[in-house]
Amino acid sequence: MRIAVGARSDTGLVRQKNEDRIAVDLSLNLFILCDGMGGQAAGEVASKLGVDIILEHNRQSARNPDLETVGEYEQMFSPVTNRLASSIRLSNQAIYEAAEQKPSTVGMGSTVVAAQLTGNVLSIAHVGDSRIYLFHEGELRQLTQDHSLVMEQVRQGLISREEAEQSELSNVILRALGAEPDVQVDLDELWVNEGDQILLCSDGLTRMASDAQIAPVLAEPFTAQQACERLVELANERGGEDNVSVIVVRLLASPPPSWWKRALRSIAGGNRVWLN
Amino acid sequence: MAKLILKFEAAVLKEIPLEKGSLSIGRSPGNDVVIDNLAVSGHHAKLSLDQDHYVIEDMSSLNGTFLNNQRIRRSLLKDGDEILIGKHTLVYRDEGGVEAPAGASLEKTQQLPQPQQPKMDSTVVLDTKKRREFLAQATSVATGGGATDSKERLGCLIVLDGKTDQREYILTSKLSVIGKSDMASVKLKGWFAPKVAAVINRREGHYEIAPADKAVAKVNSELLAAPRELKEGDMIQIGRVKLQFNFRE
Repeated sequence: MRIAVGARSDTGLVRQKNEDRIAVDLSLNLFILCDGMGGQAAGEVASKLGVDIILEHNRQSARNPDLETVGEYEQMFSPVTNRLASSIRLSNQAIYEAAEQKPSTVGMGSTVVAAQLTGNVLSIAHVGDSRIYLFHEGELRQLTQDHSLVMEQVRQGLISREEAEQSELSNVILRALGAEPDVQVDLDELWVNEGDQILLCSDGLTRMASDAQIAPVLAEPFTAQQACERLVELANERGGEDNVSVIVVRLLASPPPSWWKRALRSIAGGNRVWLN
Repeated sequence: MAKLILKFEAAVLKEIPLEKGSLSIGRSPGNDVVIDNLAVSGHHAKLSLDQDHYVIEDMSSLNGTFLNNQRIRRSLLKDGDEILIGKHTLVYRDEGGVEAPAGASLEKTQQLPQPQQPKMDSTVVLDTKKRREFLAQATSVATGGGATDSKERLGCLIVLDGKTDQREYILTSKLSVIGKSDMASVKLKGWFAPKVAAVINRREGHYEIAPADKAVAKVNSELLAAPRELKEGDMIQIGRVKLQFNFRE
């Protein structure tokens, strides 16, 4: 699978610091985005710690498949997805422990969304209110469910989605890295195809722009990097109240088959006819 | 390194670094810390190192030694503790340990234009207790809760015809791929078998089948062009391979 990746993290127009952090590892096809929180410089510390540890744990595991896993192995998921979960649990422990060390970092935390592509299988993992979307045949589908108070209320049927977006409590999240000694990580796996796009973003984008405004940007014939720049612009045009981070992963069509493969297909029929 | 700060009312008189294993406090000139005040006994109190912690001990003084407003005979010290001797206060500071957060963060806030109070829109996390309360409240309101407790049904595919690597597949994974690909869990054989014919997603007791790149699979004789949920007894056909979907308890 050939891919094109774009990434951009921006402070926005209101905040003084960028507490978001992103990472892309093209040898592992691993994409990570953390949105830090906590006073002073603590948010930056938490998100950096999160990204660094997740990246490092996955890199180590690529070199050493026997590397110990943190937390329970879930049979339902592939080893790649389990490794992703393990790395996030490890980063949680690290942020939790670091937060207790200094008074300036007490209460720091971070959200995380991470995605890894293995062939056509996309493994995703998340904690908090950052999101992953799949853009498939012109439609934008949210793959993650925010661990926020208001979205939980929506799921419970207590309030509507519109009420949730306007709520003063929209900034309250129920899970975060570093909040507790253990964290529950949401995992999923799905099959993705050529032409699909994967979007990872912080709430700085989704609180400023709706899904209906995000989708057309991905539909434009931009490069993946241009799409990222445009999404950041979009959030800033609409107020830029928070840090904005985006990663766009495009699954490109395979190069045209060589002449002899085409010749063989014209005789045998490729995928259409199947002989036993 | 730990230290003592000697104060009278709000005024800081002296900082005493704790370099020795023990330190005597009193009115007599022979003490390490001399407090010249009639309320202080000649040999009033003693600070000593017990393993890696400092301990304050009252030396049977007349007016007593108070730690954080409580009269003590002997007590372990932690960062920020205030020892009252007569009208003088000794504040114990241990920079190796956890500092009392209030003093430290106040200094820094003054340099920042932002108020210390978090802004309304900055993200906050609910702590465990509050979250449990909220979730308990929410689930008691919502109807049909508790469905997650029941055991999930597992789907399986029985091979009725064609070449595959097994006769039956239990769909325990989140994602099951049908095809010749290395990633396939339902492995098709034969030279021209499609690499990936279809993908089955497991979602909370339901199974959804979706075409991969091209529509090559058929479900109940219909070409699979869009994702659809699998129902008991559905027949999946890919070339000559026929698979029947069933739930097992």
